[in-house]
Amino acid sequence: MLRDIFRLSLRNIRHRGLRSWLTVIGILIGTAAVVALISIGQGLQRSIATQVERIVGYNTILISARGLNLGQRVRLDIEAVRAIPGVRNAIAVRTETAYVEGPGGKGFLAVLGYDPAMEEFVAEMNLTLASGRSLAGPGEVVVGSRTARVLGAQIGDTVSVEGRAFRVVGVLQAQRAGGFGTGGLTLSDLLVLSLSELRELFPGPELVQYAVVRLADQADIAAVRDAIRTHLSAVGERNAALTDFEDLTRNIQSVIRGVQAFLAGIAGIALLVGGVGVMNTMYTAVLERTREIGILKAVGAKDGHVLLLFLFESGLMGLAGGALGLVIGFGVAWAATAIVSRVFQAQSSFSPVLSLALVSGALFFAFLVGAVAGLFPASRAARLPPVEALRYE
Amino acid sequence: MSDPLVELHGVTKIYRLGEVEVPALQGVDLRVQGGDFLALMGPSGSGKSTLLHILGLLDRPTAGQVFWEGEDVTRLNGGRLAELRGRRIGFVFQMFNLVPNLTAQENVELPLVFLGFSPRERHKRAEEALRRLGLGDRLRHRPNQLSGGQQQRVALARALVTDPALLIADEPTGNLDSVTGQEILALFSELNGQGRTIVLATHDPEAAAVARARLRLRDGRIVEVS
Repeated sequence: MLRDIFRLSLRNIRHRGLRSWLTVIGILIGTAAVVALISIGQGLQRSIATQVERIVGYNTILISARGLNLGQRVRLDIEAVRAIPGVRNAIAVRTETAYVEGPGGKGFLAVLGYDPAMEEFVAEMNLTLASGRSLAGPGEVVVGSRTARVLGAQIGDTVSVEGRAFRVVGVLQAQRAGGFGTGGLTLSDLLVLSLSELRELFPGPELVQYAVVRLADQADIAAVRDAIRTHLSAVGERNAALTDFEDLTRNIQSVIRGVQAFLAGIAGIALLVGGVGVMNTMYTAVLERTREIGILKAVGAKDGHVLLLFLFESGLMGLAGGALGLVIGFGVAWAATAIVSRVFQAQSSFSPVLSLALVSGALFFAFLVGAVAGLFPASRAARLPPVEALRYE
Repeated sequence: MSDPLVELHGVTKIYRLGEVEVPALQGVDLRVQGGDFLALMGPSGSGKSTLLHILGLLDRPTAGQVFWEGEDVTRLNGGRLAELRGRRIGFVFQMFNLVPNLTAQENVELPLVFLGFSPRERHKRAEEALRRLGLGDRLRHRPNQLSGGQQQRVALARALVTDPALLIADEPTGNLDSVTGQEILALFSELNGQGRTIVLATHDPEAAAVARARLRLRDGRIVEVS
């Protein structure tokens, strides 16, 4: 009997044709919006997790000014940090602004102090060479692509940094997105010389943009953090913050989740409006079919049968909107991420994630919205006294 | 004499139209025996339809009692009444009242659906009922593809498919031309000849003439029996 009532519902939906579609579209838009936002959000979260892991690594601690403010500098002694037990390697990124003269131009440029310990981080810092070689001895510099143009310098030329002569031995590859870079500086505008020579050119207390500490396998991250803190307070640095992989992902993820919840809330309102559409359609259907309800009751339909008939109809429209919205929403998410990846030329494109929970959740919720929206009209239909329903013109 | 099929004791029905109370039936006593063929006659507003609805358990009296096959059904809940309607009563209306979305056969199957018959059994019975009324070639037609007379015969098939104890007809010829009306009336006569109990309400003296007894109503009271 349930099957027959179900089939009757289906037929009524089909019979209404365009109006059923319009109702379904209301649910469809809401579901599509929710699905698109959540699948993009989940894709973003997953992508950020892997990005952060690649950049920072599970066993990495970042030392920076509080709030990851790279404009603010931190006082520390990188050799002392490197000596902390459990630390495999540590580098400090220190840049200064220096007056540089080349064969074809001059100006103030950002100068990065390069330290042999950075060898391990070259890829992450995007310090890949386009031509020439890396620093091998004193009196050598590597320049960014634009720096080379500005100074009119080529490999083998001599440039003067703060009055001291250096020979250009390499040119950096044009910058690509990703990686932790050099503290907010554009690599193509950079000039790299050895850290020891930078210290000679800029004597005084060592202030760095940030430092990256890589731990040995099996190292106790809490103990290392404590040791770093002890060192920082020993050198009088109070404004530094330590961030490890988990902190970083947690922070980023919580921001994304917040944004996502907000957007999903807006999408949810769309879904709610869709539900109101279903309710409207069902109320109209009850009015239009008042007489039919009377007929059904005259031939032995109970209130429950009539209730089910209308609930199936509204629930089915919700479900149909949910299913179509799922497909369309995921399609939109795909297209959006593809476009974003292309426009921003992201090094690692990310794709939306369609989890089983999202699929089943969206379908269930769409069905629920439809069914709940149908509840009032359906119970109204079910309670109609048969005589009154039959008398209805 | 066998037990009465339906018995009304002092049935009164009052409709409220806003502040005004309109009495539709006033203390009606009526007894319908198995095999009866009664015609309810009277002008519009005399209470024919209301009486028919109460006999058919579509409506409840404001006062008085209704007995169905000896059982007091006056206070029965809606679900039990629906079941009784589905099992024991067949309705034919002036407006045919077929479900427009359904084919002739599906319309006839409808009462069997709510009684929980299997699809196969339903198909068989509905087809039989339609064939018996000469609609064997109209099974898949929708109401709007059928003439008025054909629609009324589908409605009759639907009323009869459950083999009801009582057939109730409200102005069954009211929307038909006289020839088609005659055909339908002939069918009623034939059914009553086979022992079917029928109560019909009508304006039409010709229709009333087919019945075995005529009850004339006025202002909610039975004023004449002939």
